Amino acid sequence: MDGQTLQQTLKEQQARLEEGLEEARDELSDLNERVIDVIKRRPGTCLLIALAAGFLIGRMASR
Amino acid sequence: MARKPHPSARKSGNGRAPAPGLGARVRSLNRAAHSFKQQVRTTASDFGEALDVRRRVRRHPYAMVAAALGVGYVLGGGLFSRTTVRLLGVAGRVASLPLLRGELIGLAEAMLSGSGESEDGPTGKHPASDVPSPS
Repeated sequence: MDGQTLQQTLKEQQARLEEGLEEARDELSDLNERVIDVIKRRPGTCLLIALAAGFLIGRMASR
Repeated sequence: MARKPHPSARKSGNGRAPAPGLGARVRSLNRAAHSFKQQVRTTASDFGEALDVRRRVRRHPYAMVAAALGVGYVLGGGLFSRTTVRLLGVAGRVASLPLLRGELIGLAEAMLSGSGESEDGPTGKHPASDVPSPS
C-alpha cells in the first residue's frame, strides 16, 4: 500500500468517523430535549420518582 | 300510662350532666377531621407556592431532579456510608481537575518564557532596547 492510498483510506475513515460522531451528537441532543420536555410537563411525578430512586440508592448504600 | 324516663337520660352515672350522644360525637369528629383536612390542604398549597417548584423545575430541570435524588439519598440513610465517602472523593478529584490544569498550564508557560529569556543569556540585551524610542 503506497502512501497516497493510505492517506486516502485515512481520510475516508476520518469522514466516516466524523459522520458517526455528528449523528451521535444529534441523537443525544434530541434525547436531552425529550427528557427536559417530560420533566417540564410532569414535574411532580419526575421529582417523586427521583426522590424514590434516591431513597432506594441511599438505603442500598447504607447496608 | 306515662313512661318513666330512664335515669341515665337525666344524669350520668357520676352525677354530672348527661354526655352527648354517639351521633353528636361522630358529627363533631367529622367536623374536626374536615377542618384538619382543609388546613393541611391550605398549608400544602401555601408551601408549594412559596417554593414555586414548577417554575424552578422549568428553569433548572436537571438540577431539581438531582436535588430530589440527593434528598432521597439522605432520607434513605446513605449520608454516613462508605459509598458517600467514595463519591465525595471522586467528586473532589473531578472538581480539582480544572484547577490543576490551570496550574500546570501556568507552570508550563512560566518554564517556556523562562527558557526563552535564558536563550538570550543573562547579559543579552533585548533587541528592542537598542532601538531609540520615538519620543
